[in-house]
Amino acid sequence: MKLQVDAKTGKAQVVSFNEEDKALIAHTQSVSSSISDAIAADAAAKQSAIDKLAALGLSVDEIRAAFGLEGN
Amino acid sequence: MSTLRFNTWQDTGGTEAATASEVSAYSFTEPALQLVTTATLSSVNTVQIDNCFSSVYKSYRVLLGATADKNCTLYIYGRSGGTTDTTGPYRFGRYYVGAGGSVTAGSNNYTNYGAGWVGDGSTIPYFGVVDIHNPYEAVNTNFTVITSGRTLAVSGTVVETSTQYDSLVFIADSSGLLTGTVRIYGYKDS
Repeated sequence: MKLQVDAKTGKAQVVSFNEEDKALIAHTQSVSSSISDAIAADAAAKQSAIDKLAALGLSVDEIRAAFGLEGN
Repeated sequence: MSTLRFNTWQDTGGTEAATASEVSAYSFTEPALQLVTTATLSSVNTVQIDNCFSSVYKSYRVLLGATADKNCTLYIYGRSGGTTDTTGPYRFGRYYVGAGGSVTAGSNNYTNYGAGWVGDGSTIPYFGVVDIHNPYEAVNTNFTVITSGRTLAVSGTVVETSTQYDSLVFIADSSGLLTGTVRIYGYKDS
């Protein structure tokens, strides 16, 4: 259900989804999924880099300290 | 419409009725934030607020307090002339503390704007403060959002379009249902 408010009149009503709403919801879900995928890919890339450093006997903290980097 | 409020008042003459000199001695100050509209949400997935932007204000503040029936993220779109802007681009970044995912600032070019994690089906309240700059101007629109609740989220976006928005829509993904209140204020310029 959708709450539709008109700021000019102050009228608020709960309405059923129309076709535009359904398309917007589908669009939102699609982009939400792509964002989640991108976040997961970033996390995987970060972990891969950490693993490669570990294979070399290095840690992220050591790299940060060597280059004067702080934060995440 | 403006509302005048007494900034200070003192009955210096010791009488209840204000004298002319007492009135002239005190200033009248309009509040800097002026209510545009408010609404109550009751298990709704989408909140569309029409005609909330106009030439009256350049900047707006939205206060959204809600709970959700499941894990969901709130997305925001501008609307213009009855059409939701699903093109953008909404170039945004998002930083989460707690559950959820952060998005690198500025490097993402999405067609909507994920403002923050709303809820988890519990009674943990979500509160979002959304500042919107220049929605009604024919320039880029900025959104800055701070939310608290299941997570702390700080996010922002610039919508790289000159589209003039007159309205706004919030949508919870994952078919989440929101219950709470929303208020929109305009920032008075002077």
